[in-house]
Amino acid sequence: MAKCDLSIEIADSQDKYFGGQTVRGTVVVRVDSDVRCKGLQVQTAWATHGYGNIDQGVGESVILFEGEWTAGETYRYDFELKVARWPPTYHGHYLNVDHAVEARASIPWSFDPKASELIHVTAVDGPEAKLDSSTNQATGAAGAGCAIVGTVFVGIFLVVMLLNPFAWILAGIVGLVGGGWWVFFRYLPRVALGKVQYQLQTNRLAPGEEVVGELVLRPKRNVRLNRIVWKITAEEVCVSGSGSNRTTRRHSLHEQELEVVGATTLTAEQETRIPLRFTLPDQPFYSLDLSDNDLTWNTHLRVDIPRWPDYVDKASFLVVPDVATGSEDRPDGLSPMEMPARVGVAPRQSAEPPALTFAETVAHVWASRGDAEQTDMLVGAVEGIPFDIEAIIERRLLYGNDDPAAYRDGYVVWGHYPDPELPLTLYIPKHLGDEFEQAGSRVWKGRGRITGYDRRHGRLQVHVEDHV
Amino acid sequence: MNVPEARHDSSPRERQHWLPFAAFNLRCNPFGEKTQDDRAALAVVDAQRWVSVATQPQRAIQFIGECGRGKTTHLLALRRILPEAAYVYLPEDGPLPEIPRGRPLMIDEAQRLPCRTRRQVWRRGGALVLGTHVDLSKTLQRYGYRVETIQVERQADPEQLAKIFNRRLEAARLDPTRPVARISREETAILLTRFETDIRAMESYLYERIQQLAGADCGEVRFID
Repeated sequence: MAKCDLSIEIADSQDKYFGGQTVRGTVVVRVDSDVRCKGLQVQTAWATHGYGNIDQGVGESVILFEGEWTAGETYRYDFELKVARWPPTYHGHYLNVDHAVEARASIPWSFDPKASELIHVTAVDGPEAKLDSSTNQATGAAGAGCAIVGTVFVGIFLVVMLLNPFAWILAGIVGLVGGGWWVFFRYLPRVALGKVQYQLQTNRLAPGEEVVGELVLRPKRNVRLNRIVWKITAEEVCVSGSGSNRTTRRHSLHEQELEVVGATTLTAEQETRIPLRFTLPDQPFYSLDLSDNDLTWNTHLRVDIPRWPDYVDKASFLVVPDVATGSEDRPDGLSPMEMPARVGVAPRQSAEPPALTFAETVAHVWASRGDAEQTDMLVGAVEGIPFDIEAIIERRLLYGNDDPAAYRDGYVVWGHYPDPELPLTLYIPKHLGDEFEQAGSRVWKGRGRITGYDRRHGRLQVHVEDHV
Repeated sequence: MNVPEARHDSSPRERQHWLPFAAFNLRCNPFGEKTQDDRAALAVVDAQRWVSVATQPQRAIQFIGECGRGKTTHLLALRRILPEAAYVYLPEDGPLPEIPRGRPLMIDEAQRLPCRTRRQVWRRGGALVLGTHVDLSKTLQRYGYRVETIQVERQADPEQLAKIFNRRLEAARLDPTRPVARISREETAILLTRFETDIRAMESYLYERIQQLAGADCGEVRFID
């Protein structure tokens, strides 16, 4: 029987956070019998689950207590920890990522009592946020080591080949098979098409952005094509087990095929440039690379040549939150990691509305209203996202359209959210102005987008688009 | 087959409504991959009955069975209660890992031991617990071992399987005050007929069955189609 029981109480009655945000709470320890605790540890952590071998990581960890606990007592230890910035909470088919606050008491000669409380984390940074320079250096050293080992193996192989004539037979078979594959799938298509170049303009994109690529062809002779097809796919790839038990499962999340060119004839010695464009959905699935759990986006190109092997090529790209794309539109003076990001929540498989609501956003902003940096990060992360808005109207400002953020010929209305009473500034388009002329303390519902935070007046700024 | 009804009262777990199986009071799909520690904690194995044998010199326990029958689970369950045990898994490809010393020494996929290494390890004379596809008792006896052999497949019956899967379901329970679905012996008997004793294949099948419920607000948990 456990000597004590742990539980975790998260403060603020919320369980949704942005990456890097602080979670506050209390670890409660109920003690059944006198016990010595070598360390009460609490941490924010994430772990994959589902089909693939588990990968996990820690955001922040702290030891809350070491010492003796007395039977019959209840102890409470407050904590403040940052959640990991990456990966985001994700629930797919084979691949899932969950974050939790975990507590563990190290008790000698006993199974350590544990407790955990799941929390939802939305990413505002890309996956590079978890890398540090030491990892990059290690990769470089490992690469050099592999090259040396590889050279040694090739050298030994060549010596064995020279000394053993039977090895030539095996080498011949391998060479024939490999060579045949290369000729059929690589050489012959290029013979027909001449110079072929396929590339993507950028391999890092955010939700809603356009995947832009180009195919360049310059055949030596006139060549007829049936069609050129460009396919964009997203899939979960999860590996379970090891050795002979290692199995891979794939689940398609998105597949779209575009016929970019129909039946046509390419002219000899003439360069043909074919643009390729595809707009990502607003809330697609972020690329994930978590050991044996991957979410990958790929493009597949096929040039269908009649009575000839097809030319095929493939290029991958990453889908990351806005901030991690290093967009040239970022404000001057801010590094990509400081740039406010749009929130892209990896959705569940079913057709669900966005995971983040206006009520939850207001609760977060309310909780962080004393911390300017935190508020700016939160507001920047949800900027531009459409929400169903709810507000208690206070008054329509007389000189509101002096505000540069106001709609042209529109109105500015002050109000607040019902609970918590976060002050709001609503920018109303002209055609909705009459609704707010006779303002009383009533609840107004509509549709709008968060566009900023007025620090001077402590108000969340919302551009209203329509009423309900 | 128990059918929990989705509840919509204001329990503390209402906050975690974003979990795909919250309506079924599950924090995750119970039949997904587990860490070694979790597998050991959830194992339905009477590990205590082998403790005295597993720590004596010149004594060996071998768990024999094909892939997916529970050999590794037995080893991990024993390792959990034997603090001085050393566990090593032998991969099919790649270099052989160093064989540690422990009391007992646990070797998973022991049939992959090269002959020379096997001789060296058997000569040590320490307690051994092996997971293996083939019977190694003759070679162990030549080195003076007394061997106890357990055919793990013979332990798979409907009742045992129901315990195994219900423990997984229980471990995935979200709210301790609400029930979770339970699989019955009749249903595990059907699984035995379909998958024989391949527990891993059963788990894979149950994973897909539960995954179909992801995102549902309510409904019935049907383990067998």
